[in-house]
Amino acid sequence: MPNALRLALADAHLYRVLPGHAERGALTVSVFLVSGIVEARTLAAGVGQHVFGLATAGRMREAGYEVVATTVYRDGVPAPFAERHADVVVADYPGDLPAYTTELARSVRRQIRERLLPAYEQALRLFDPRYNLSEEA
Amino acid sequence: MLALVQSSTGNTNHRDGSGSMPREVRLRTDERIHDDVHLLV
Repeated sequence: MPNALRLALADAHLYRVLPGHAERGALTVSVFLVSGIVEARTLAAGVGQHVFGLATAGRMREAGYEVVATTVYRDGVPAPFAERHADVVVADYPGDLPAYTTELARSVRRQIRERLLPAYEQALRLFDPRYNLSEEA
Repeated sequence: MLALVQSSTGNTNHRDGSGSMPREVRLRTDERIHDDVHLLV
């Protein structure tokens, strides 16, 4: 979890492309679109992810989260499974916080993580229970 | 049918943290994600 939050914070500025988040960017959970558990297992294996969670877009919206189709490009090239990528928007990046970069002091970065962790965990809990690829379907 | 392609990105939350590589996010504005679609995290 802490590493996932770190990466989401570092990427927050990339989400200024989202309507309503143009000024500060957004904290998001990166997801892949699948039809169900069988396809989820296949895709998780494809990206080398052994543990995964699932939630429907409807469940996330009912909880108040926006779900948007997004494509991530690395060095101008779409990331693997780009056509299935989406983001769950957890929150606008707070306007009173500095951008989360490695130029910030470690103590400041830790404070930012501690402040935003509860909201991030709350969103991720909606994907429980977690599935393990090594276990039977 | 989903093609099984091995990727080098295996991190939780699907973010690889490759800070040295320029990244960009684009919104697929013409795509509507229906409520019954599953999201894998």
